[in-house]
Amino acid sequence: MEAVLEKQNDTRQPAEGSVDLGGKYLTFMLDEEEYGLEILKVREIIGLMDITHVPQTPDFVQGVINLRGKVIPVIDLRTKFGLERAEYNDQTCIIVVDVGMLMGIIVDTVQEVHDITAEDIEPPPQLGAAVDTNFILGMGKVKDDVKILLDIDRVLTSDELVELTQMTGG
Amino acid sequence: MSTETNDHEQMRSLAAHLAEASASVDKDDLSCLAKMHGWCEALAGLTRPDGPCPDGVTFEKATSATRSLEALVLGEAEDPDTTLAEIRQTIDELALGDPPAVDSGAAAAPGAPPRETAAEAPAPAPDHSGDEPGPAAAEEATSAEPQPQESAYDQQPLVLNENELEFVKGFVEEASEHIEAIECAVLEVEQASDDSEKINDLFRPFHTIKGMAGFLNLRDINCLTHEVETLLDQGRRGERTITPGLIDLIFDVVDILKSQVAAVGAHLANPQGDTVPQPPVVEMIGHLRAVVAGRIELVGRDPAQAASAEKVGEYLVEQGSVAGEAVEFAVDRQQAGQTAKKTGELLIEQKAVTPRQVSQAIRAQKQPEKTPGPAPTGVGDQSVRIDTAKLDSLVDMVGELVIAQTLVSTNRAITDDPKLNKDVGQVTKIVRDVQEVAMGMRMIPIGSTFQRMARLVRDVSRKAGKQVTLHISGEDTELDKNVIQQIGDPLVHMVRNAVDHGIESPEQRRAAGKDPNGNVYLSAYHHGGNIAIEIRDDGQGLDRDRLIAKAVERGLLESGDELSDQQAFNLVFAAGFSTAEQVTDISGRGVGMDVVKRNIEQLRGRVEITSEKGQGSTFTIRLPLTLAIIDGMAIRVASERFIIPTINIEQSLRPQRRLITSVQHRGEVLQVRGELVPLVQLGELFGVCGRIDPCEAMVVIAQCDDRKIGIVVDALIGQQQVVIKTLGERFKKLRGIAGAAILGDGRVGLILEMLGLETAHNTRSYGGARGADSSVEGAGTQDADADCPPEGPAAEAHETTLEAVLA
Repeated sequence: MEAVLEKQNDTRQPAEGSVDLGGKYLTFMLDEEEYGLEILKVREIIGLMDITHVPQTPDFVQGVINLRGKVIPVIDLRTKFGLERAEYNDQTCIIVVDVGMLMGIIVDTVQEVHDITAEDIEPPPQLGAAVDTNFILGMGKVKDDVKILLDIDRVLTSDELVELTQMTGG
Repeated sequence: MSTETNDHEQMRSLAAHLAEASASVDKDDLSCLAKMHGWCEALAGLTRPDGPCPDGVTFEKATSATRSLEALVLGEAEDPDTTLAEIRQTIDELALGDPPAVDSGAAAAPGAPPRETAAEAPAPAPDHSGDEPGPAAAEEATSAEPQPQESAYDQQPLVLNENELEFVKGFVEEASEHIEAIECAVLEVEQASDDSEKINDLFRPFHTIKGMAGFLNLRDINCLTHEVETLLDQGRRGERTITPGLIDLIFDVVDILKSQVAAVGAHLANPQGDTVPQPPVVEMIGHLRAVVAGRIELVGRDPAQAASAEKVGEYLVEQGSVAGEAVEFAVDRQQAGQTAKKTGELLIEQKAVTPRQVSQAIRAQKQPEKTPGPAPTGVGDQSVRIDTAKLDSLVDMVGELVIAQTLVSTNRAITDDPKLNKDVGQVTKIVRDVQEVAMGMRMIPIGSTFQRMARLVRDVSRKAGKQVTLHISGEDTELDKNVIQQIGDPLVHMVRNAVDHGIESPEQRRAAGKDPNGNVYLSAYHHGGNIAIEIRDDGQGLDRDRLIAKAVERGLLESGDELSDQQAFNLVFAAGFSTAEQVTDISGRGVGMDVVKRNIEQLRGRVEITSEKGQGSTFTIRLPLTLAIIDGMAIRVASERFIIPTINIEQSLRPQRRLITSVQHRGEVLQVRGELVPLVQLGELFGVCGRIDPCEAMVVIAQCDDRKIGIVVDALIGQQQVVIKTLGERFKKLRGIAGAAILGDGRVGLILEMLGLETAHNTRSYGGARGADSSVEGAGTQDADADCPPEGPAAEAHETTLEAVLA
């Protein structure tokens, strides 16, 4: 399976509409919406653990955790997307992704891994100015469901993690 | 390393090269002839009676071929064609390893009536000391072209072999180390110039560099080191006394070597074009050769005087054989690319000199060229090179191991089982040992850094016309490798200052009734969990009044009346501050000390100055043992835990209310032993909770530059050693936070950084914070109660605080 995955993915450049987006996606729930994440970006999935807050960071930066000796930042994806915050529960997970560095994202629940072919992926629709479609690779159709496939690199690296403007503005 | 087989192989390959070249060489092809000449010489060197593979027959043949070639190249051969034919025959015999046909010496004789060539030209490597040539030396003979005979060294564009880049990288690293070793050794040689063992120590690194450079075809470096080797060899054999002039010369060479190695290194890191930019070496090589040949008397000289190149032409002019203009004309033609011929040839063409004069000049120039050195003797066998990243990850993992171990050993189940308890105790012990060893692996003695200072003191004091002796102690003191690397530059500044500003000129010293010879003491020692490095001089000391006057003049101070001595001395660390009346070439521009201070603070160390006017001054650098671990005090604010580096902590206390003064209800100061210390509400500043009443909590008084701040915390948890983790690039701009540490229970704690904390505290606006106070309070309580990330309204409050605090 690994080999197949690699074969399917290694020719693909991330975030380019023209290239083959087909491959395996890890899907997860976020405020009753279903999102997908390229599986090759995923390092591991861990349960919620103690998060240390880091001051001077935007509110979607939940803090840092100790991942077996490495200190990595954790992002609350709901807040990042402007969704309502939810109580964390035993379903809440941290997905550790590799976007050049390791980062954790907090999601409501992790669903499953879907194999989505390129034909089943449609380009991001026009959703009006209110929705930033830059983060979206495409819309993946799995049976009757539609999953929002995320360009996780863009999601996590588009923002400065330290709110510099706020600091210097004072 | 060097075995007989190796030498024999070397011989065979030389002979093969020769055979190949002789088959195709033309009597006018000077460069090829020169190459062959070099090979023959090398061969003769290997086979000479006291050489590694004594072989009288081969030696004679090689020697005779060398002579014939020499004659041919110089145009002395009466019948070049015959001479060449004879050379070919000799070489063929060499290649076949045949026994001599008849009298091998005769092979060359008819064509090249040796005249003074045979009579005076020294055999290629005559009676040079019997040290066996290492393979490196032999390699040099094959891979580096022997020098064309009459021109100065001819620097060629350097193109690195793609396949060898890895080796070259290794070379750059190693060469730098060897250069360092050379610098130490040079100074030792200077002090004990008749100790051949010391000269050997100096010889070895040069030899190693030469060998490696030859192997990698770095001709410039190879040739430079080769010349120095020759010089040193003369010294070793007592043919040359080690004079200060010679030492100067070696230092000059070392500087060129450094720049050469650096150029290669820079090219590797960031290649621009195919060729490696090469700092000039031609002059130096020419000079070296002249020195080797004994044509230049080395006297201690002003380093500012550049080494003068001695070329054949110059030599001839010196000897009065030829007019300067003729040489210039010839050289001009050469440089204009009109001719590939050598200076000597051109001069002969112009009938300005006789071939004989040129040949003498050339001989004088190259006479003692080939001198194989001893093979390096197992230096470095005791160590293994390891990528620091590997070491770091080992340290990381050991850190994790310790944490995991703690979790196991605090498990309650253990107490129920005495056997298990005992075993776990044993494991704990071992784990601690492993941790110690892992941490120790990064530690190296500071000695080599100190040795560099020895050279510096020597150079600077000479330049400044002062007599200064450097005394070094504690060079075995071990420090983290990173610290050592980064402490070098600050030390250079401080030592230079001590010599240049601290120590007076001999006259002034005499006038002050001191020994005209000044002293600088450099020492390192352990001091309460830290390392102290002390730079002490017995010079004029810092002039408090002048410092203050200067600071006032520069507008750094209003008036300096109430400054303590310490504060006055600290003025030297202000940017752009210099009391030197005159900006010298060495120092005095006022840049430096501020950088020194910053560098040291980056290493989490600090500098202290004590000084007595007329008696000298002492700069003490205090550094942590390692960068990987710090001693910290864990503190708690609401539910969050932070680490304050112990080195910053002055004291901690629970203040009495009367000692706290509130300013417009926006800021508070605390009186500590008569000093007013501003209080920093950490919880408020970082948005974890609201204002904490200092009288119900604890205040940690921390040093922050020369100021103090009081950090209000809920509780002190305890002192512990923590492994520092970086928060990564994306958190780099955080203020007041130096990094993260993994605490005993596996959670992450943030390490506070005082300077940033103070800045954050100073730039925050208390005006807006008041309104947000109530909601903050709520957020804080909720946080503390729930002990989980804030959600919903709490998060909003969190944000509000941040904005309020930071707006």
